[in-house]
Amino acid sequence: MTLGSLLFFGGIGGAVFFLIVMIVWKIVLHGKRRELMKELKDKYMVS
Amino acid sequence: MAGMRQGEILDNTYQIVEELGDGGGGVVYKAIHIRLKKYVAVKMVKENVAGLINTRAEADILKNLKHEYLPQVYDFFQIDRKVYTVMDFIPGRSLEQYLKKGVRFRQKQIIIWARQLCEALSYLHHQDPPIIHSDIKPANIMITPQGNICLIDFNISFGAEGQMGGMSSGYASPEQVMSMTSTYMPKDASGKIIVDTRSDIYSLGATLYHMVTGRKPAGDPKDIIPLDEYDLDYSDTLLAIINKAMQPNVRYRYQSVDDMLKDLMSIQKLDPKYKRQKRMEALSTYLCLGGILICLAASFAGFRLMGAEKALAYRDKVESGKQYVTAGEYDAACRMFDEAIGMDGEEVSAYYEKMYALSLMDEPGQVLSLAQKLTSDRQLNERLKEGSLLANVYYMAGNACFQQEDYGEAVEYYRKSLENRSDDPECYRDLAIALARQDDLEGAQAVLTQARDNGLTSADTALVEGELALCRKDLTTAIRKFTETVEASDDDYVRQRAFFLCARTYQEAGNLDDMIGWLENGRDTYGLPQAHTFYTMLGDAYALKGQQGTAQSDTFFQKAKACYEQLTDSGLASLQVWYNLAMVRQSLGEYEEARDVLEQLMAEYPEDYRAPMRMAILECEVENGKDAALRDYGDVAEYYEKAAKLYEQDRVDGKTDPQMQQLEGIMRQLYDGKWLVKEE
Repeated sequence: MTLGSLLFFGGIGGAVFFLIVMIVWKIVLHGKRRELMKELKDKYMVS
Repeated sequence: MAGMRQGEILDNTYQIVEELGDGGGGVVYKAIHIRLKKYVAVKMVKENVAGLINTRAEADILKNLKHEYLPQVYDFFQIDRKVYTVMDFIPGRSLEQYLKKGVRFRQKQIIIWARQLCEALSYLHHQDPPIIHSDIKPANIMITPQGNICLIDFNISFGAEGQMGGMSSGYASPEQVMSMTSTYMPKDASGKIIVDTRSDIYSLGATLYHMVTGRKPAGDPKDIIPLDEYDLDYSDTLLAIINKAMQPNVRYRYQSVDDMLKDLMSIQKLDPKYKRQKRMEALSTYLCLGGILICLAASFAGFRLMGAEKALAYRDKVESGKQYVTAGEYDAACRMFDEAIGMDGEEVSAYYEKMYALSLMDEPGQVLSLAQKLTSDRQLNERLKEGSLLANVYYMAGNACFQQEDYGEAVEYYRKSLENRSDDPECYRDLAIALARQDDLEGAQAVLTQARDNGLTSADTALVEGELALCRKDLTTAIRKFTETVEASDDDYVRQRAFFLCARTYQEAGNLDDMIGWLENGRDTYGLPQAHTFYTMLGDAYALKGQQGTAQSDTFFQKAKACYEQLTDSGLASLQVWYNLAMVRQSLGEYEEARDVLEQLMAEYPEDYRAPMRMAILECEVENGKDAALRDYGDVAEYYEKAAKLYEQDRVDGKTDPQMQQLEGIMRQLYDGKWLVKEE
């Protein structure tokens, strides 16, 4: 495998990896934010 | 200012019931509307404030105000220089009353009331001209039985400059308080302090300050105890909003009540935890996006690099192939070029070099096939033109046709080559020779003249002239011209051609000795790999000489055998050379060796009739050498049948082979002489 093909396929693989990580992390953060908003709603009693 | 008594009737409409309070702007009474029997609040504006009232139009605007958290102003009148405002009577208690009792409100309640106050103020501030309350304080905030606020006692003065009536110490903004230093207050062009809607924001902040701390703010902003010095059970976010609203310097305060309302509406989003969460989300998003971008950039760089690597590998293959060509290893060279073509079928250099290698390999059929592919493909054709290689491709194709003795096609290719490069003397030379071979002597002569004009050398000219003489059957002149070429040319290719042509001319003249002499000279001049054709021709010449049946026949057959064996041993022998070797061995009586060669050829070329044909002739000769009683021509018949079958399949063009005809004659004799019996 040449350096070029390593970079090309590695780059694509890396981009897909980061994309998946971002999606998963977004889902996790969304859950955390929902919990936080609930907590803040209780704190400030905002309707 | 004298107060009003209980029962006193104002403007024949409002009967005073009781005094509700005495504020900065005036005294507020509870009254009853005599005709409507409805409680109202009548505010008697203090005289110093009343002086600020200028027009009836202002009163009309106040009467038109209608908001959920503001009392409705019904009337506005003046009696004996006293100004009265009549508005909704708001039941319930004022915020001040709750605060005086030491009631501490929950954060939720404070936020709800703060929002309601902001909404009411926003409504006032958005009037045209803006209405500035100027006296927001707990006493002017009523808490209705429904738990909502009602902002009462808003000032009757409009505008945004000068001293406002009804202000209260501690709640009034610094710019309202004359005792404050005016060094950092906003001023207009004339130097007057500007009091605008932001003053109400300060007052609102001060009211909220009182609500959260339970203490009225100090009149002088410098004396106000910062909120963070209290041990308060409220969120930092709410305190930060109050703190910002209470900034003495208007530039650091909320610039509009809408801004403050916006913060209150999204107060949870100002919470440090929420901000931290957002920061983390943004950071993780940026990190991931950064990672994706870096990976994509790497991928793009890799794509570019792959292209460069592919081009480099392609060039390496082509260069390796060219080195193999230089070393005479044409098969290896063609493999390299094929690998290069496999890498990039749109690049022409590998095709071109392969074509050149094939032309050196004496593979005219493959050269032509490749030339047709290159010239018929529009893209490849364009690239050949760009690289100035198209003329060479046509030239090599012409040479291939020439080699196949298809002179008409060769002429066409040479002409196409000259269309692309009109100053190539060698192409003119070969075109002239091809025309001469087609017996177009005039055309050949005309092209020769053009060739001379384009710098054809004297040696090349002599070669063409020799060809022309050969066509005219002027063998003496032809030999002289070819000899001149051999002597004058420094181009090995041209010299070799002259050698062969000279040898052919001698052969045509029936002078086998001189033919052999020339070929031996050529053989000795060039090495075997470079001049294997000399060996082939020389072997044929020796064989011909041997067939003359002189006393030295065996010697010539031996020489012919030596030539052929050198070719077979070096892997340069053509199929015809193998047949000739078998024939020479047969002529020398080496039947077993001849048989080995023919059996090998039958195995390798099962479709070729010549091997069984030669085998039949060989076996016949072997049997002829035996006593009549011992002869058995069975093998001869068997080989003949095989050869005859293949010969019929091979005769698609109707050409006849004299040796096959000879064999057929032998077979007839064998059947006629009853040496063989035909099976029914």
